[in-house]
Amino acid sequence: MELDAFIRSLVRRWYIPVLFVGLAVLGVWTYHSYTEVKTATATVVVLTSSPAPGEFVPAQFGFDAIDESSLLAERVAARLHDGTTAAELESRISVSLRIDPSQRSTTPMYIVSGKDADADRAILIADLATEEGKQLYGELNSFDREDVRRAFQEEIDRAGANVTAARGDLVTFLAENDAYALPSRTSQQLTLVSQLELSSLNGIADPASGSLDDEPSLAEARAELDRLAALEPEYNRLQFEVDLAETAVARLELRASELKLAGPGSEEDLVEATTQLGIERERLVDAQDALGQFQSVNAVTNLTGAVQTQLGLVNQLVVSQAAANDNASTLQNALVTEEAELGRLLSLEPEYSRLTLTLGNAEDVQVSLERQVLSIVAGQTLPAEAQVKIFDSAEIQSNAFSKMLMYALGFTLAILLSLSIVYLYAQFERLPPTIEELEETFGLTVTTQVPNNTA
Amino acid sequence: MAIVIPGVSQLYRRLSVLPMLGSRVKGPDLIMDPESSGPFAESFRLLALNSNAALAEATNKGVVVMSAFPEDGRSLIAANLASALAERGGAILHDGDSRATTPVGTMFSRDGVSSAARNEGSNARGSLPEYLREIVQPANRSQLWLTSARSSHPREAERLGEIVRTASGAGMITVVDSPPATISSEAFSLAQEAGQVIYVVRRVAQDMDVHRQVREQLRRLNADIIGLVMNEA
Repeated sequence: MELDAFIRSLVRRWYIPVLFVGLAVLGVWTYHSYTEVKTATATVVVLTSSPAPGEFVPAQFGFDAIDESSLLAERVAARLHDGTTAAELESRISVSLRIDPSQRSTTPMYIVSGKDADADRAILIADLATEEGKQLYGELNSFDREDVRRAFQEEIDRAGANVTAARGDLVTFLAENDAYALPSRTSQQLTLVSQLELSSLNGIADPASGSLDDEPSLAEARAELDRLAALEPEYNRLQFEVDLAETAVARLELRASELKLAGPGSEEDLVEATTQLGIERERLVDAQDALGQFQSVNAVTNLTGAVQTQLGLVNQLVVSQAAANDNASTLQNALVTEEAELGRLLSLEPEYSRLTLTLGNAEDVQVSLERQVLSIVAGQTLPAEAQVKIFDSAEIQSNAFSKMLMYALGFTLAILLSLSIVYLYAQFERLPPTIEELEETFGLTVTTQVPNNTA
Repeated sequence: MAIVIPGVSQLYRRLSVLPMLGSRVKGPDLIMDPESSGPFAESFRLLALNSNAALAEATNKGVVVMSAFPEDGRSLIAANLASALAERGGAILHDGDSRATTPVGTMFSRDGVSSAARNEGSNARGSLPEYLREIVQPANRSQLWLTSARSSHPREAERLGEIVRTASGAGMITVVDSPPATISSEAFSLAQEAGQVIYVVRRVAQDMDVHRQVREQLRRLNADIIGLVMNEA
């Protein structure tokens, strides 16, 4: 169809587009009048922090996922107190990530929307959804501490058993080989042998340094040394327990002070950390008591120092005794005896080192596991709920744009539909020919037009 | 398939096929006379002027008023053209539509024939060639004569040729009213015999392809379209 034929038909039927546009405008207006819903939106920001290297950070889901839970609608409905059901609210509450095209902030921001025909109620719904969403987010991102403990307990028990077994092997080795305080004894034995060799080479004994009447006998000194050295394994175990408890207490005290500073939203975690701190403090007291009792019973405060001192004393007695005899053969015999002892001690060192290393590794595993449990149970980051901050309270959003869009859409559809109808009219109707059509058909100019004779 | 949605004017036109409502009975003022003025009369004077010019060199000064459809106003155009031509020197109006219930000549009879005009016509007939003198009737216009076809005569076209030739010899132009081209082939026979056609198109919704077919048919019959009339009456 030629354009001029369509335009002529359009001019003849101008009322069709006008009618359709009028109907479209009326329809959109009616639609808005009966279905218009006010939307209130609040903005929420969720704080994030980069964990320290090696620090455990539990997995969390995004804030915008909370509207997938029917719990949110249920809680808001319960707080509305007006008979609104959760099912009615589910479609009227939404949470979405706010997209910032400028990418000015890397902190995720979320839009909490509430919809209702009444503006005040829409604001109320959005505000309630924000508050409940914040709490729900904290709950859903938290974990059951007992579950964590149960999950780790088996590993902790296994690590403890490994420590006990390693310590047993070491103690057995020390007992069987008379190797208590082996490093100290080896060092002292080297010193003793050196002193004896020096005395042997000089060949002159120093009477002044020989007899020490007020000093204990060599046998007594050796007996005391043996007693002290035999205490070392148990002493080390008790000291290890004290160190372990002290580390836990220090960690929990730091965490509790952080949670106090965090303020609202972290109360639950603070209670848990405080409880755990109490438990660890009791454990520390028990360990310290056990160590104190051990020290009291065995009359030793600093065992390592005592052993060192006793070793020095034994060495001095051995050298003194050999020098007091003023006999080269006696000195030589003492030197041979001590060199043999040194050789024996040195030969024990590889196995002693292996057993000590095994015990150290087992203790490290146990310490690491207990520290990890503490990190999870007491938390290393802010509680999830405390990470959620309300950035902007709910406000009614203007829907002028959507209205304009609807009117534009209705107008466009009306124009298209009406023009289509006019086109169909033009397609199927016959119009009187124009002068131009007539002249084109015959290839002649119209000679005359006979007008209607109304005269 | 074309769908025609009739409007008021179309409905009127359909009703006007009834004899009492037809265009031929609209009224005596549809036929111009020498005293007529206004756009209606002047349009025919212009048509007569153009026709005269187109036929100036023609041997046979005859022109058939044709149209494709009934009620296009052929008789109205033919009668008024003949009347306008008569003002310029004499014309014969031949009613070639033998099927018409109302001959074109009756327009003039209803237009009121004064006794003076009738006497003038009777006296003027004597100046006509003998052949024409026997077959023409005077109209109530000066120098305008009426003839009519004999219904269903097999040699009617040849008779028209004789009329045209004789009238041309007497310096008169013969205007032929014809039946609709889409209803009767008689119109084409008349056009072939006369040699010239004035084609009338009424300004109503219609299929233009029909006109193209008529034009092509006239071209094959060597009938020239010397005038194209848009009838809005």
